[in-house]
Amino acid sequence: MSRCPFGTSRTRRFIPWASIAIPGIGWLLFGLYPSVATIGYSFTRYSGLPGTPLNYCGFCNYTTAFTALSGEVWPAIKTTLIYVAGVTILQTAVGLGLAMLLNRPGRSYTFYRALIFMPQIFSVAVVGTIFALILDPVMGPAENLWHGVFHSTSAFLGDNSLALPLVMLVNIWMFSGYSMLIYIAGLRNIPKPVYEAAALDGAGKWRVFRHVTWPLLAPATTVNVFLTAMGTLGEYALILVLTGGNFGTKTLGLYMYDSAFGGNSQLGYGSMLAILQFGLTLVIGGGLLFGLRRREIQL
Amino acid sequence: MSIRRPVAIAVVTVVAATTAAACSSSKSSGSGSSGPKETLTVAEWTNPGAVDFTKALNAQFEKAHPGVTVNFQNTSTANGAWGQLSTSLLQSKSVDVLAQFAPTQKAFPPSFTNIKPGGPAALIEAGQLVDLKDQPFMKNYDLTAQQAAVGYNGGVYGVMAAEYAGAGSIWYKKDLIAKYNMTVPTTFSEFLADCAQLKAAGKTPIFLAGKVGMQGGIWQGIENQTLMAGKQPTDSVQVSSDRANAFWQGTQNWNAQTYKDIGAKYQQVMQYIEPAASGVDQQTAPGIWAVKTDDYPFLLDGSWDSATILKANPKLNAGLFVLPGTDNAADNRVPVKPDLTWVVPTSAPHKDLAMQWLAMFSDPANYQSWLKATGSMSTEPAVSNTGTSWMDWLNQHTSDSFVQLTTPWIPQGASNDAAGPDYYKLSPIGSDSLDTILNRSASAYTKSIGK
Repeated sequence: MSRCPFGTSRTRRFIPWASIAIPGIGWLLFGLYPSVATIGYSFTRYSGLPGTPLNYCGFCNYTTAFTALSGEVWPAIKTTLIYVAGVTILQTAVGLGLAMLLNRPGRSYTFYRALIFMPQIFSVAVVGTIFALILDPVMGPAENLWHGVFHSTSAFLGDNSLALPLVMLVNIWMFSGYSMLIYIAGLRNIPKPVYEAAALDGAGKWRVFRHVTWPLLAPATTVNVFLTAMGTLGEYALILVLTGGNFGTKTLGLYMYDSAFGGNSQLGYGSMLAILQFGLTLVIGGGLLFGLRRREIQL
Repeated sequence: MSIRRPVAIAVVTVVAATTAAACSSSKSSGSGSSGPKETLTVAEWTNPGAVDFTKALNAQFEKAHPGVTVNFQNTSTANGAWGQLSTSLLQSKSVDVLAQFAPTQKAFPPSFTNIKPGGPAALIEAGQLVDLKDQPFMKNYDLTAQQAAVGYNGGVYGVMAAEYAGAGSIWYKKDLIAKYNMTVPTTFSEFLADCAQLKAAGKTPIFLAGKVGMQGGIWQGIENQTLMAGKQPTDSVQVSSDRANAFWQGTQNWNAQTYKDIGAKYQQVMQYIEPAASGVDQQTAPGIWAVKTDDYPFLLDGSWDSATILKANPKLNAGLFVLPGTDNAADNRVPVKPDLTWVVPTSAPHKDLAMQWLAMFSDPANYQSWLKATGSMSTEPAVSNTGTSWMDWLNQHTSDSFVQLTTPWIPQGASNDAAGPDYYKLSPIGSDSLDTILNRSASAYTKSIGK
């Protein structure tokens, strides 16, 4: 009988179970339990404050959300979809553009790549506060620029038509470095002979990109689109800091946070919104994964 | 090598660490050689004046109670930070004295509404806060005001320590106003005429933080004075309750003529605000206003921002008055908003010390300092907030002030429109007309109560 790396037969039985049990307990406590509790709370009118009753109410929160009573859920879902679509498309495009530009050897390129990735490591609160100050319509530097170009004033984050695009732009600024890195990894995986063959065939830069680079970047695109969409679906902190969800920027995630933990906290209603958010994530995530994987296979 | 040795070492390490932790824990809360040591935890949200005062009071408390350390926690109300901190402290059962916003009677809707309270009202209803009614220090306070702010079923579940001129309160630059031979306006027409004159002189009359909806203060100021016209100040709780009932029964709604008139006045005032005000944040507005001494004669903001304003520009000769919402000067009284309320959770580990801390806070000499530091109006009848130059107008008008009216009961999950006009969408900040906004609110309210 070969010697077991875990030692004697008695401990051999114990070690694998212990190895699974430690992360397993962590998952049960911090993964499964909160998820199951959220489902449970969604059937209550629980305030979320310690010592207050659960007030079980069946499907009352769901009825509220899906009947005429709630005028907040549908606009929040609509805003979420616009936000997710806008950020995912633009961030992926910006990430690709940056990757094409900066996928070169040399220290200066390494520096630029690090610089572009840097916003990712800042806290959302810091980024939000900095941009709120930049976009302050009275004292912020953006106001001088706007006035110089358009000879008028703008409320920026307090403008019903500008607030959502601006929040999206801040999000893209913060995370496009991440998309860039994934695309750079994808670009470095494309075999050089493919480019050499294309060059021999007389393909120009655009044709090389369209018929060689872009199709071969399909796995990187799948990862980028999927991760950006999933990350954006749950976004609420940046919006909270920048606009507080006002001026047409209240996404489902922010509405959930506000309901569950806002001034008049109602964890029961907020949990129901979290379940809706989960459903939306499942549908969008599943759809994207299905579509993108299919595209990869076709390419 | 057998596995037993590392396992044994790990077990010994865990036991040793646990023992060490237990020893250090008992050191902080148990008895030591120099007598019992206890830690009283006090938490409040960040208001610069209130935080400075509380730190000083804590030092005084520690001096008077050898062996007691006060652990003071505070954070901003912005972005939900305060809500998170206070809930965490309650969950961990580690806080002794906790600041809460006064729930007022609106937070306890009648059972027929089937609305469950949230926030501090939920804690009170669930018996999670200590009834302070019979505490000796409560004799310092006006019991009626305390009951209106934090009373429930005959008990008083906190000490409402601060109340502010909220709805329609306006800071003004005394020197700038005097330059145009103006005095504090007493009627709505007078206020509009002043704004028109200032605008003609090239000034932007009103500054406000529209990003967080401060423009709502204009509406609420006019609304409070209009609905309270001809009534006694003590009637305000009843007026709020009657209105809530009328809305619930369907005999009144947001598209009534009263609200159309209020809205028309609101829009008249809004002509004079800073054009980009909707992008101005509350965190920056008081400071910007204070340093720009040659413009923005008026700032729509509560009296709670006195410390911020005076810190930004200590030389500013500022005052505060309340927007006159009607053309009858006698009806233009000050609506007062109950605000910071100290509560003691039933889970507090040091209730006796908490009561002693509150007793020290309530001492008239300390309370006087609290008022000066926070700019609050007094809730102790024997103490008044005098000696502060910016409060001169307010002090002359507190005798007939009334508790700010509360909005109708709104079921959870109802659209924001049901709670009243959406100031972000109403022109001039938004693009919707007054009729559109009021009809939308009326419809949303009717739907929210299932009628």
